Amino acid sequence: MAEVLLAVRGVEVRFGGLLALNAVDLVVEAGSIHALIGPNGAGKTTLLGVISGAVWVQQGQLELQGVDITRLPAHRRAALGVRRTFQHVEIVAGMTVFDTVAVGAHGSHDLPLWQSLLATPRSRRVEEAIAKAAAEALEFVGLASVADREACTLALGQQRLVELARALAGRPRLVLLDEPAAGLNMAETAALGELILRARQAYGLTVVLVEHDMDLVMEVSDQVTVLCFGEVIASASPAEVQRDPRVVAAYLGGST
Amino acid sequence: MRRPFWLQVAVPIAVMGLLPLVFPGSYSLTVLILSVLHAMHAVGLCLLVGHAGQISLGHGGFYGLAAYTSAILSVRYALPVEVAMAGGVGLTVVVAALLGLPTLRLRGHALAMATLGLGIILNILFTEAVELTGGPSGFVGIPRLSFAGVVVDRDGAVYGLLVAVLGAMMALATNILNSRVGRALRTLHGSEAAAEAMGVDVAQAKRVVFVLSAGFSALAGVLYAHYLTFIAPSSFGFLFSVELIVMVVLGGMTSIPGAVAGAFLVTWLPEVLRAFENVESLLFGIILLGCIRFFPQGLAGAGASVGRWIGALLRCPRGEQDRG
Amino acid sequence: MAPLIQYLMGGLTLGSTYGLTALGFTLIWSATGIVNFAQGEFVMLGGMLAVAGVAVGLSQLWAILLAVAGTTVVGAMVERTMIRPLGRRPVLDVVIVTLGVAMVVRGLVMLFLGKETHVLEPFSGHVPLRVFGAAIMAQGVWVLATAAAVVGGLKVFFSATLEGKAMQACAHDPVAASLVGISVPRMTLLSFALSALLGAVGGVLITPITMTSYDVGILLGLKGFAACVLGGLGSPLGAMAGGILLGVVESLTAGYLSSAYKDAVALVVLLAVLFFRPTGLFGPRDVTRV
Repeated sequence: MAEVLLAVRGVEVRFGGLLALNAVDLVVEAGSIHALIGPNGAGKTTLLGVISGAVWVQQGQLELQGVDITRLPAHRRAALGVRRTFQHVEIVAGMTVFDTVAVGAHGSHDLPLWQSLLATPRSRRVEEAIAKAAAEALEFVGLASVADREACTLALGQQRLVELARALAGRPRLVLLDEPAAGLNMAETAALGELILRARQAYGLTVVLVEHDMDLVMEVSDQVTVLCFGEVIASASPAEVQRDPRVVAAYLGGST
Repeated sequence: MRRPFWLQVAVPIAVMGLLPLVFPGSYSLTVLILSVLHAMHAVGLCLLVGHAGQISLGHGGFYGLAAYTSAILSVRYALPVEVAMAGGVGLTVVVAALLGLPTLRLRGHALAMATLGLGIILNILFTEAVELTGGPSGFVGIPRLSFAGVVVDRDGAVYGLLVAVLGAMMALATNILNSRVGRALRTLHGSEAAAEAMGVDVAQAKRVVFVLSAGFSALAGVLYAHYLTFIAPSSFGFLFSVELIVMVVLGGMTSIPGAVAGAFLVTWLPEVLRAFENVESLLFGIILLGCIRFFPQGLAGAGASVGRWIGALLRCPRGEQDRG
Repeated sequence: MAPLIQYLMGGLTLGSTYGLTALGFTLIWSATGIVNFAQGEFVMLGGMLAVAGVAVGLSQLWAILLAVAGTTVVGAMVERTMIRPLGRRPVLDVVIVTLGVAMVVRGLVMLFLGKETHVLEPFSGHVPLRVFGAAIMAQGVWVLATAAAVVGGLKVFFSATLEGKAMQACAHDPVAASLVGISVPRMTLLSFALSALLGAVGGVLITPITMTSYDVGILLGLKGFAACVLGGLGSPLGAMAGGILLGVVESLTAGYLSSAYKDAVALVVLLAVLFFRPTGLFGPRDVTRV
């Protein structure tokens, strides 16, 4: 068995009276693409938030390469190499594509403020490194030509690529993709699947993918975990999951 | 997008250097000096409001806190002016840091109310602590600006000194905006979720900018006290804090030269408007409403339009006149 | 004993009006996430309009009713003409607009109603009531009774009317609310009108006790916000309780320590709560929505 990059154990999340995640376990192997699927409201995005640090858990534990990150705030997890994209694209109006992507490299450097204030040689070296990482990521997703455009004026498909590039610019170990194919047409989705596979290769990534498009999930993922009403009901290879009667029942709305 | 240094700092400083020639006379010079002092606040607030997306209504209080501290240290404790000034700035920065610590952990605009509260408390203190501050009638006999025994007492020299200090502040602010910190600020302003997911410590970034802007206001405060040699609580009240926000909004919120231009324009308003005292609140309100609704780019936007227009006229290659 | 009762009663009275202002803050904050800087100006406007009504010869009852109605209309108009056209602009822009509205209201009142300090006759004369040897203003009873009636009315509004339930749903989750057919803009309008109404009621109640002028809005607004934070932003009952607590502390300070620093007390309380318990005394421990 390959090395475990991320381990989620017994996680419970409540929003008020609603139990959003209940005793959820998830083991993501290094270098794998691990899909999270399930009906709407199953808690997929919540689980992604738990991993990224946007959502705090009431119970349970998270480990990244054996390090307990349960109580680390989101920005500290980013510094450890976790990046994510968003289901509803989080791109800031008024920023260029280049600047938007360059923010992705923020957490990869630790520089005291006064260095930036005085534009010291060290801060310039950091800025150059960030610019290089951003340019490479833009090149990789094929958006180098629109680097100076305002990011929020792009089509949705391109905005999703901007988010992917932003995640890659931080040279992460673990990338969390939240419905990257939502709103894309079939050709775009196919290209995205290929891009995710290439990104794993080029950047040495591990990916957690939340996605509704089953073709995409079946094509790229090594492992699929199925969530239903906040609980894990199956975790296996794509082919096995497809045959699992509980999963079929969950999707058809029947009871198990 | 990078903000070119010459356009952000050099050109505005050159223009400010020429202003005393355009508006000669000692009275005009006094107003210009006030304008530069106000512009110092505007530069800091431009970072805080326009980039970190936080409103402060307490910078008038920081201005006063630094001015009074420096005045008290230099008169009541007979400390040298430079030491007193450092003390004024230092205390103010510490107070701002203490205030920012809990307040900026919160989402939303708790900072606006907390700073408003602090500003009012400080004003009550300036007015009521009569033995220390001179009370409502003010603090007189503050020693003039001096550095290593050289007294800066000619208004022309003071103006030059202040423009140099403002230039340094604008340079620092431009550096920040051109760095990863600037991008982080703009991101957290638009989406805190995206910023923290990319590794931006949102609370700390806001705190740092808040303290920096308070430091700029404090420096303006100590310079003001030792330039005028007299201070009174009424100069540091709520209305002044609103006036500072008006300057930044009029300047276009995100542009540093715009904020400086806004500061000059708002400072000149009472000079061209006889009835200013009676319509001050109303006018500030109208500027805020009008700018946000119809001219969110403010003076900076207007400047960019004029720039493009001249550019087209000179058939410059396009894009060179881009607004910073 | 007598002074203590007097201070407590005074604090209770004052605190109820802070509570009304705080309720106004809470309504708008819950519905829109905006800190409304014009809230204190609504309080000031209520009092000043009532004073102006009496000055032009209206009976006190009519002057008060018209002042409250007028302020409510102003609140609704502010939302319609200033807030709604901003659409999906950043919250910062909306907050600056409320600050602009505050300055315009203050400026207009100063221009048309003057800079003087005004007072309104107490609703039932100047003769104080005697309770345990302490002299209690009859106006205080009016304030408490009205505040209680308003809180009761709001409770009924939220739990028994469709409109009120819709507003609660909207505050809880605007996206979900609009999905089930609740008009979010309509609820925003309603929250502004209601907040202005609450503010104006507080304003006309307090004017006979503390007097009013064009510039009292900012401090009243700030105290209302402090009450809100004290009780936990977003909680109506907390807002009222926070207001009363603040009023009592302020009144005791003025009575036993120094009246010069009584305004500072509210602000120190605000800062202290932000420092040590940002979710307020009665708020939830969860800070994600704050």
